[in-house]
Amino acid sequence: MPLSSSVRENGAIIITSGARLTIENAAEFSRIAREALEASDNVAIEFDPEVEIDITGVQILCSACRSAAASGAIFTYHGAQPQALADIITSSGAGRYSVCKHNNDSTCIWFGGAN
Amino acid sequence: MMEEAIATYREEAGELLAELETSLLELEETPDDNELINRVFRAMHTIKGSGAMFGFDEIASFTHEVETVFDMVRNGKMAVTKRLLDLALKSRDHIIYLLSCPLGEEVDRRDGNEIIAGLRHLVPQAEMPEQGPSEVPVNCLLTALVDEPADEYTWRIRFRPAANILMCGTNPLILFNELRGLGNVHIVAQLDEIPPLDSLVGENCYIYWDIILTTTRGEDAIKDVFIFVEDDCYVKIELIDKSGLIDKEQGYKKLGDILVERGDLSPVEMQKIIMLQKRFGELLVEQGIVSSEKVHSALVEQEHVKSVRKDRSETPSVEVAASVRVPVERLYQLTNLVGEIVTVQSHLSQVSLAGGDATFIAISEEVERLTNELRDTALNICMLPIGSTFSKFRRFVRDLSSELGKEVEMETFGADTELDKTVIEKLNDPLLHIIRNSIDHGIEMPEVRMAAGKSSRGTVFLRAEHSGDSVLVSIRDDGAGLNRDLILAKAVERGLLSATADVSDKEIYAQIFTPGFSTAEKITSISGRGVGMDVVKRSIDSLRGTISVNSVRCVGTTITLKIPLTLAIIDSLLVKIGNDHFVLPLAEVEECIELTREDIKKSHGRNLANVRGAIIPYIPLRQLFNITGQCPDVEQIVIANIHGTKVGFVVDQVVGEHQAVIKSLGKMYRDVKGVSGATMLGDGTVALILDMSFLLLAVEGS
Amino acid sequence: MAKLIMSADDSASVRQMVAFTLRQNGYDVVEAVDGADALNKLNSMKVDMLLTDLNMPNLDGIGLIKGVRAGTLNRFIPIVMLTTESNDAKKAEGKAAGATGWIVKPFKPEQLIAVIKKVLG
Repeated sequence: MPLSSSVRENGAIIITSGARLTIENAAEFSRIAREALEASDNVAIEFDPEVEIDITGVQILCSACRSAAASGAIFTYHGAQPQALADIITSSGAGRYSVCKHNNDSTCIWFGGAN
Repeated sequence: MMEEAIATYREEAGELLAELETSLLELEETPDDNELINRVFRAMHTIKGSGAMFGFDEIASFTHEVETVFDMVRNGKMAVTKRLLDLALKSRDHIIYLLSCPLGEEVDRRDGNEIIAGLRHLVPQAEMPEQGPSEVPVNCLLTALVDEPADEYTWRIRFRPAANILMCGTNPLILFNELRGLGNVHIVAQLDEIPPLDSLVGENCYIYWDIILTTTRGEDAIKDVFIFVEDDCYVKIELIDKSGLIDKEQGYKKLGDILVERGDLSPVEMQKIIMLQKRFGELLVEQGIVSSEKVHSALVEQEHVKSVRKDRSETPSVEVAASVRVPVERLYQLTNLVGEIVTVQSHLSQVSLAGGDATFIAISEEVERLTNELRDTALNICMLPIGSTFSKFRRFVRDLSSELGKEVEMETFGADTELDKTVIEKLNDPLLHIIRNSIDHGIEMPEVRMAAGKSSRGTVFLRAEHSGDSVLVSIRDDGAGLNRDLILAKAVERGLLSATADVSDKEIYAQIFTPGFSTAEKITSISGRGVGMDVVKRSIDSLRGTISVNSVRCVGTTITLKIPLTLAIIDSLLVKIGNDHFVLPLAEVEECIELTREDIKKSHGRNLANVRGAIIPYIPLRQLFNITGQCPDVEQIVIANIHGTKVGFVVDQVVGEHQAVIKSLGKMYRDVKGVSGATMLGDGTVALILDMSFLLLAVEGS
Repeated sequence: MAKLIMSADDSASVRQMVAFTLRQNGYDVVEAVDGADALNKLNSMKVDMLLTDLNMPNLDGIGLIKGVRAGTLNRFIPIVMLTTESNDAKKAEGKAAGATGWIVKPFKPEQLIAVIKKVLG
């Protein structure tokens, strides 16, 4: 399934990652995330387990989390985090072990790694 | 191949020179034709550039002079004259002569020097290039691959990429990997400049990085990593520690000093905060002076240098000569090769035994003995004491407990227990998480503890010990214990357990490993959001380990991890069912007994065997795996001891001991239960490695 | 899968040497004889990296780099330019056009591979 979003009956929006969240589709991913958070206060990402993620993907996740926190919306993921996300968090040093002021001082569900 | 390319070059240069001649003659007719001038320049340029690549140094340096002149013509600094064209045509003839000279032999330079002198004469005085060494520039990048062995230096690097760096094809992660190749690295990504979605440009880079690197290589080696980006990115490299420094005290700079040095905090603000007499980092964040990310990054630096200094002080310099630093890749390569050799050796043993030649068998046995020694030595090289990880947690316990207002101390046992280096690295995060949970949820506030008749100070015990081919790591706290009823209630609420079923405490406690499971009434900054124990379990699973919880209300909780010593090779028992081979980890196997048709009849289908008076349940693997075909009259039961429970596994035939070189199953089979990997037999067939404790659980469950 | 690298150079001998070196190190190579040829091929072929000379007839290296960065299929690939001088102005021009890195001619095969590993990982 390619990168896309769909609305559930309860108004929640599911974004499916497709095979890649990389610079090639960074513009599209950020647009889809932005539109989803404008339309719903409950947005979740469903990752393809084999998804490829680069720095732009990490930035968009973080940005979307901020936007969601600012408007009181939920931005989360379904199922397991894909290996690629865990890997890039480790290799880029993006792991967060403390609260995030951009996320209403909550811990980070995205970059908390195994902590 | 190089000869071919050289031949091509000679041919190509010949064509270019012919073209050059035509252009020069045309230029005589139309001296102002810019396209012609360009063509002459390009021909010279290509002859020079390629010439240097293929070792025609004479051609390169001579053509360089001619090219320089035509560059001036191209830029309108010189006019095309008859004299210039004469000299250019003579140059062409000289290059043809140089091309005909065999590579590496002396050439006649007289004509060349004459032409160069003539050309220089034509150049207007003002345009005379400085007479530096006129050699072809050498590539300065990637020189000095091997430095002199040097002292160890620690550097602080702030790398703030240009916004368009990703669009220009640079992947910062590759740069970080290069840095990792230089030494011990800690990387912290600063995310505070990532904007919300409405002002985000997806392809831009907003993250910047703080990197702490300890290396024996000089600053130039670090600069080389950033060579392609240093012009348009902010790269600041500062020396913060070196082994030459007298480090009597193991500590390192205070957090405030680091932040001030980095320019993240002004000295005035630092003084203000110090006056308040609280934990410095917390105050900075609380008052919004420095972001928590920047404080975290500075703390990483502090830890990094402290640990580097500690390692240094713990390693007496005399011992330095007794150990050699080896890149990890080479170790992996070694273990892999040993794995291959073990596989080949087992094939050799099979073949020699089948052949029955006594000399051959003797040789094969000798090879087997050596292979085993080689295997043990190779695996040993990759072993490190787990203590290094334990000591890292001390600081963590201290900081976290004071943050929460609790009194907690940490006690460790068996810090010298050795484990595979990769395993130790992968254990770090799960252990950290478990300890965090113990302190946050387990250990009570001092008042609560006093009221319950305990000492106000709680303790976290970390213990490591060997057990067969595994290491048991347990994390015990003397806190409140898990709330069995609350967990049960939550589990029922979430439909994970049925309210009426009779479930054991163990099963209830195991619920904490369910994704998203949390009983915390309020979410603290440390834990309770239900992300965590499931990740811990996943990490342990990926190490082929197991995790179990035991807890007594008001007394404390113990979490036990059982981790295999190494991820590479295990001793195992090779068995056969039908045509398929399976292996069982030998550490858990106790004995093998026969199972006849009679025995089966006697047990009345209850799958119980009588072993010297003891009744032991068994699992018929043939049925479990739905393997078709006729089973032999006499089957074998492999009796294993799994966490103190004796259980038998029924197979057709026990082949014998086998050294299983573990290969992981592909991603497709990641979720297959009961099989922890695969191994290759000497003849190339694949045998699955059975996860006996899982099989036991599965059968118990049904 | 082996990574595919395009080598654009008007010198057949350099192309030959580059292609040989790359193939020997496990990369796949596609060649282009000048900037126009390269840009034309890159419009319909996805590659992992571009290695381009700067001085070429028809379309020079700078023009090629700009063309790739303005295209779609290979817009974000790493681009390494081959320069004859360690000429800072030329390097800056190439970087401004969107090049990822550079290598100075003449170079040895191992230097070429080191630069490629540096940008391609």
